[in-house]
Amino acid sequence: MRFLGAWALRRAPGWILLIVVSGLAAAPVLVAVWSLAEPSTDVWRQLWDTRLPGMISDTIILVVTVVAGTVALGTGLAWVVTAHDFPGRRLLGWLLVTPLAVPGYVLGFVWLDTLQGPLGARAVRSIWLCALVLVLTLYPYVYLFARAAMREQSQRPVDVARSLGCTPWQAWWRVVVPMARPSIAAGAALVAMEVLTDVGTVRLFNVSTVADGVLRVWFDTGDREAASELAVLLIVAAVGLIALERGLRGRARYTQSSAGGGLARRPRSTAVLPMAVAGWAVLAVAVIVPVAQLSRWAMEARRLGQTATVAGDAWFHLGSSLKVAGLATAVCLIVGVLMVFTSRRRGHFGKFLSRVATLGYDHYGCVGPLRNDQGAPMYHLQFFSKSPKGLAIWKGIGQISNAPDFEVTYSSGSLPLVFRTQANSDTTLIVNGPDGLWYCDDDSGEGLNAQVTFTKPQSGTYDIWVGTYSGGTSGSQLLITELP
Amino acid sequence: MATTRTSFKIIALGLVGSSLVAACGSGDDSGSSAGAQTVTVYTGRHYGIEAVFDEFTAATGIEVRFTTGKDPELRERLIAEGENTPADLLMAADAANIELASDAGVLAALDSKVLDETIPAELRSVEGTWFALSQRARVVISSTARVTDPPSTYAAVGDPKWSGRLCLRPSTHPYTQSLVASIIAAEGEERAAEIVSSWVANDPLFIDSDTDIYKAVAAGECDVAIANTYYFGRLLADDPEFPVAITWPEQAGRGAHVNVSAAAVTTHAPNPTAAQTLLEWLATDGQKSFSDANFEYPADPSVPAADVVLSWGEFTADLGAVVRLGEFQTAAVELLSRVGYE
Repeated sequence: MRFLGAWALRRAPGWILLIVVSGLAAAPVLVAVWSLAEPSTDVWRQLWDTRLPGMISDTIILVVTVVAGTVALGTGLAWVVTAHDFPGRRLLGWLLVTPLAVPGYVLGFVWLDTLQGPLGARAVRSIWLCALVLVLTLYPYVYLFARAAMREQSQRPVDVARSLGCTPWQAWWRVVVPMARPSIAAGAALVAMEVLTDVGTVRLFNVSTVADGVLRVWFDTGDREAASELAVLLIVAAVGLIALERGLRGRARYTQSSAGGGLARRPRSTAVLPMAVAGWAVLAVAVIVPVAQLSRWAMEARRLGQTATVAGDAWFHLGSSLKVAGLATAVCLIVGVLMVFTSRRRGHFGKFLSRVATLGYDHYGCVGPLRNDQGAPMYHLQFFSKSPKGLAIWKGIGQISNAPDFEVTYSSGSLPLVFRTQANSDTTLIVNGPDGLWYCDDDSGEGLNAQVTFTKPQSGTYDIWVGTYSGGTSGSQLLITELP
Repeated sequence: MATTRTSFKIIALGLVGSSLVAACGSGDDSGSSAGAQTVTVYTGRHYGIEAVFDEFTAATGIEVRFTTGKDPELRERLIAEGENTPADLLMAADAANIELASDAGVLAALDSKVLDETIPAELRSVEGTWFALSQRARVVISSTARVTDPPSTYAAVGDPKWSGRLCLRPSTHPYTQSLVASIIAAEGEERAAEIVSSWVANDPLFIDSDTDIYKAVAAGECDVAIANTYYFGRLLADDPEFPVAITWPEQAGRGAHVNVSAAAVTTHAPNPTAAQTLLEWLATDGQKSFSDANFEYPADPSVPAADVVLSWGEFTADLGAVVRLGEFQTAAVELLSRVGYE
């Protein structure tokens, strides 16, 4: 008994964290599934008779082509930068990640407008061009995974293949790629989820997918119930994709030890030149040309004195972006690392729970807190670990989503407003202010307590989340005061 | 046992925390509205709105905070936010969407002599929730170079001679939905389905931007299209020789389809008085700037439109349908799906 008690005490905090985070992540999904309990039969019948078959086929075509394209491009580029040496290789290796920062619809808009002239307005609005644009924005998912895998590979199997008569291409195809397969599959699964949930790019190209259908049903008919039900189709597809990815990986979690030392790079030569050209060409198409075009438009608009109707100036928007990005990164790191630590050695159920936590990913993906169709705030998380060379390696995604722990409605006067945790463990605070901005803190309070101070608080509702840094579960109190 | 006890402790402390918060929240609810007056606007109408708001602030001292978005998104946001909404005023570029918001109970009925006197009855909601501030007409446009006999009715756009030569806005846009709603209102659902089917049979090129539709006609991508007039105003301002002509449709009958920019005070507005002040100002002193900023027709018939707008001539407008667009919106969306309109 005594032994059992000590075991429970040691293990309980982790279990609670796992259950809570996966519960939060699964909540919107469960709500959506629950909406099927009373199906909107009429809407489904009407959808099935009209747009749904087209939506499903467009979604399938798009997922398949974009996954194929990103796997080819991402793996190829990873090989270019890990197995070849050429001027600017390091720089290119970094810059090839940047399309992640360009939303698909922005790239889509640039190419749509640019190609409209030469190709014609009808020809550019095609599912194939849409797929191409998505490939160009999403390949970094595969590229990052594949590059990390290839960096950890050993040159020895390649040498063996070469000594058995393989050309460099054959060695790549038969040895390097198969060994990186689990990583490539993980990247491909993420790409597939992104494609499933894209709603901006597809509409530009007149492609109507299931995710677009969810918005159609919601906004065109105001029927939130039916929209949730349609979203279940996406959830089913996401679960299927996760299963497929697990299947592709098989039992291979880590293909080799990280002590591989990396592939030997083909030295600089004219034979390597085409590789370098190909790498830079992809970057040009995916980033350099679109950014140049956007800058040109911006300068032209400035010259003509055109203004856009948006509240706040560029600095305000830049500030919000940085804040949101910073907060999202912090939350990702905290929750992600905790999830990975606690789900280790917890058997099948623990693994299952941590997998559940990634399920919500199939909701509209974008970095940073956003509101989902249930109106609940949620964080889309990405977390990184450090490679031996100090590079951030993208390890996965997660999400927490739920109503806040506390809501404070506050009318401001001249005093500041302070939220503070009081606990024996290391606590964190996340506050969504009435201004819609996000504030977070880890250790500003006494000891390891968190504190968020608003020196000039606005009136309105403050949504507050209290978390723990270490996953410990000693209780905590939230103090709200006007005395700093 | 230890596990259970820990959990209890957490739950208990959670409760302490929530009651603490509840006490704070309720205690502070009273005594707001200190400092400068601010009115918060959710607007689906974008063009030139900032300058008009600045003018309002200069005239009244009331600050305007605004968030832009698409009409249906703002409508759903307002519904979802309920009592917690920060919005005082909802401004939409479509009568159907603002009527649907009204149906959902998030718009307040106003008792305003100013609004009742300046805005004609057919341009405000029957319940007195929303008021149109300007009108825009959705007309037939055609290439001056390639078309000599443009369609004179919406039905004529479906004439097979325009097959492969037609540009339309996708069904996801409220302008398309409201146009079809107006056709249903005038001609019944069956006839409306025939008309829209005949458009679809012409294999239209769907472009989700009226400006791009004008440009597509000018560039020869299509010869005939349906679009709003104010985009023409903006394009003419850049290029007086822009090779597109507009045709007022249905002039022998009910008149061209008009939609409105309209606004309403929200039911749960934190500052309803300032919101009503803004709405009344937009209907009176701000009426000219508001309409001219986007080459629209003022809702108040005594206020003249911009010169370039007047140069397109007088036309008969289907004013009777404006307050009924919301009623037929769902039918229009279903009809568009049924006939395979993209």
